[in-house]
Amino acid sequence: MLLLPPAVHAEIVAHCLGGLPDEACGLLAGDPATGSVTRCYPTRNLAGSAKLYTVDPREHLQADRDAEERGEQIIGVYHSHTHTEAYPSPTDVAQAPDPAWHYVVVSLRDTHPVVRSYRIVQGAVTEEPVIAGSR
Amino acid sequence: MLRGAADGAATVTANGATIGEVLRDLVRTYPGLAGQVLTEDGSLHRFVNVYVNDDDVRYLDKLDTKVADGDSVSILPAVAGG
Repeated sequence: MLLLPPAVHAEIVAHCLGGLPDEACGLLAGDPATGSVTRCYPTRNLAGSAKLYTVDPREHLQADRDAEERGEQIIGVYHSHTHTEAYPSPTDVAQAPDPAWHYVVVSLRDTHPVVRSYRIVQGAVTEEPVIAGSR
Repeated sequence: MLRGAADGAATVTANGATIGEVLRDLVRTYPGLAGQVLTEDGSLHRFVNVYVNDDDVRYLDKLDTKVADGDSVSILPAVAGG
């Protein structure tokens, strides 16, 4: 499961809405043992596309260092789907970089953004509950 | 995933005068990293980003980028999707 504080949830959604018409992406930091998210790092989508995203590696480096300084780790990534559902696309599954990560997908297809989280392990996608909270 | 192949360590020490040597040294110490950081023909895997301090080695000399004592080499997976 993903423990997501409401403030971070709001920040993720705002970043995704602000990224329109392109996909937005960012990293999630927290405790890998509990799935508890402490903060998000909105990053640039280097692909600059409404269909693809690439987290700017330089910003990934900065986020990784910042998280480490705080005694946290990068535990996942979030990105938006501008016109499709909040479910990992075949590209998302094929390019998932880490089986230990949480993959949050934000759909902006309908009036209200939908936020869902998944594990992607060796091509298998499993949805996990997103709990609004921190511990 | 890279961390897992390095026995869970976030920071490790490696030796080498260039990035290529450092990465090969790393793979010798952590065989689980083989194939993830370097391809079979010994070049940098395209889904991995390597920084020497704050510089992406792809914009320097790639695997020939020189490293000095105490330099910080960061290896991060490419994070992308659609």
